[in-house]
Amino acid sequence: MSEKTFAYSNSNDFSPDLFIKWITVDGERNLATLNLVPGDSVYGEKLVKIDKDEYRLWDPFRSKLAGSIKKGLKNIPLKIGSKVLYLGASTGTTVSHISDIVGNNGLVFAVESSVRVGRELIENVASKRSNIVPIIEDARKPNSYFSIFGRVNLLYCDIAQQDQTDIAIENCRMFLEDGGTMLLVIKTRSIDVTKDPKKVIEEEAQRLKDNGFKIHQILTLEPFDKDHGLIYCTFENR
Amino acid sequence: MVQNCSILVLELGIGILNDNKELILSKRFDDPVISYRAIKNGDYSEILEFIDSLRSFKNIFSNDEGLVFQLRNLGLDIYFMKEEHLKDIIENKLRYLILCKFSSNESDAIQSLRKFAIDFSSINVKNISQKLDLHVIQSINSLDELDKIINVIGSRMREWYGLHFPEMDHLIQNISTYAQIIRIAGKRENIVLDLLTNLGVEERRAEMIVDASKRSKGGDITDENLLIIKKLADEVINQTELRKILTIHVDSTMETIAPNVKDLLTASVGARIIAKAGSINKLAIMPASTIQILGAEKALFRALKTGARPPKHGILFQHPIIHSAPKWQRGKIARAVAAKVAIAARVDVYRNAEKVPILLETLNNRIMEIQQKYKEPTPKYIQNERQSRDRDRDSRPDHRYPPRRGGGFGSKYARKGGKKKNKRRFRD
Ligand SMILES: C[S@@+](CC[C@H](N)C(=O)[O-])C[C@H]1O[C@@H](n2cnc3c(N)ncnc32)[C@H](O)[C@@H]1O
Repeated sequence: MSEKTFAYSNSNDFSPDLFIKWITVDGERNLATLNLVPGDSVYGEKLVKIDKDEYRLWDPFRSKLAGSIKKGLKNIPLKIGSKVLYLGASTGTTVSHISDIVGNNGLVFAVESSVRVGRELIENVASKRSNIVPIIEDARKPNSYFSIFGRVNLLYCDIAQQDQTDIAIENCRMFLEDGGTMLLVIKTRSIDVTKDPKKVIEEEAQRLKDNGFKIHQILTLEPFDKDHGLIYCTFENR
Repeated sequence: MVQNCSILVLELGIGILNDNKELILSKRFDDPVISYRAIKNGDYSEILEFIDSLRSFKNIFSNDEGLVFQLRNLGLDIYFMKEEHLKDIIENKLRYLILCKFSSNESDAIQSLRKFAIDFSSINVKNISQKLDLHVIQSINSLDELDKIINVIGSRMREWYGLHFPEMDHLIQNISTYAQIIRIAGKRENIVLDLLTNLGVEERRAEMIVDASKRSKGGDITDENLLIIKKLADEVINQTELRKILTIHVDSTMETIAPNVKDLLTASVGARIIAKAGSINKLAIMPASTIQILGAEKALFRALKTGARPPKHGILFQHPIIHSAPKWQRGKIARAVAAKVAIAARVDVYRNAEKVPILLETLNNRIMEIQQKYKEPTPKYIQNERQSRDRDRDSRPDHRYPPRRGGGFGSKYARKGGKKKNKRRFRD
């Protein structure tokens, strides 16, 4: 996939063979993904018809990945048929949009440790979307994942834990392809409350470099999200 | 020639391969979720039939640690697979599934794995939830105990501080507010308007308290005594805090494990019903008639023994809609509530706690119906009341205290009700 820059305001950024688009609704530009399950709105997001296709608006205030794209994430490492390992799937808000983008030939392994939200993930999202494999397990124990196979192209990690970077690295070692992409959401507050958020992110980035990752971009997510940053990196040396 | 072999435990079955990764034999699970789970829990019955054919191999390797442990105890030379081999299995899982004849092609294998993940995860969600109900029972029981503790310590604190400032007793009802006033002010002369209003006391009441403190008939208090009272106040504040946490915890756990029961009964009454039943699973197999009188067992046995009227409700009496209803409606409403709770518990257990709002709707309709239809006491109710009054009078000489009867023993409110009745009976 070619490296492209997605700026906040350009209109024709996505190549037309992707299942993601900018859509202008009421004069406002929105991200939207092609609904894999037409008619189904996952978390109350608007459905928009364009010709015969139905798109789901992707709310950057609800999803950090959408926020990152709006903030200018350089590359969207997702295309039709991509395989994704998603840690911290929660109720499936972001997972559902990734599921749209990778389409029926792609796969999303969705790991979530909380049974409470796990149940919603299964009922509202995973059971309706045939490219999602729900794994209700602790991301600290990748050995206990079931139904996972092969290697993934993208590992997305948003688990809001102190040791999230280590957990992400361990999962990459087991499941991410060589040169594959990782997007790591850093909750700047949960790692160290007293530190300057910028510094927190940089320290985590350094740890990734020490473990064979190449850092491509570091983003903060304001105004969509105050306490989070995102690191975009690739796994170069196993 | 003696060979090695590998036993692969996969989501869909067990396969045995030789060193050249050729299939020796395989067994597809009839019910993958149950069998896979059993093996992960160290139950090797799925593999029992293979054991004799395994004895001819030199070394055996497996990707399942539990299985290795179990089979080694049976005297097999079996080892946990090397890391690279384990990785190979995950990476090429689809191929292995096809090789073992569990799937016919890759897309078939993927769909089977996904189905497995959904079924297995659903069971995980349910099983952990089943244990959560035991925790919610502990929570609701400790909530009830905390209430007693707060009450006991709080009363002592009030009485003791009352020696110093008796007038405040009837001006402040809330025990936690009372404790905080002691905590912050100490002696009554330090109780000022701001302090009280900051604690949420109404302005007019606050003025009354300050006023009373100036003209109090209470005695002086030594620092030593005050210090101890303050410690008691601390205790009340801490326990009240814990009580708050527990309440929230019960609420959110109930939302997870039994949202439908919670909807009908409120979180705390729902949790008490589960506690009485023993577990959510036990509740789910109870007939509505049993649920209706859960918590009134004593009254029920007495009724069976003495021929008195059976109880109309147990814990359900704590439901606001029942204890606020006129007496002659309570039995009917309790029966309607119990019927819906029985269904709700089954949905919570067997349908993974999927929310079914229609239950509450139909219940509310039914209750409205009862309220309209039975506005006035029914003749049967009046007759029963009269009879039981007569019976009480007749039986009085046999008892030092008249027997308690009617619904709801074992529950706070019900006991209160029972006592009131006793008093009245003495009067008439
Ligand atoms: C901030 S939320 C993720 C929100 C989600 N990424 C989205 O955008 O829709 C973090 C999630 O990670 C889950 N989580 C926390 N620790 C985890 C662990 N060790 N393994 C798996 N999931 C975990 C939490 O239960 C929670 O649902």
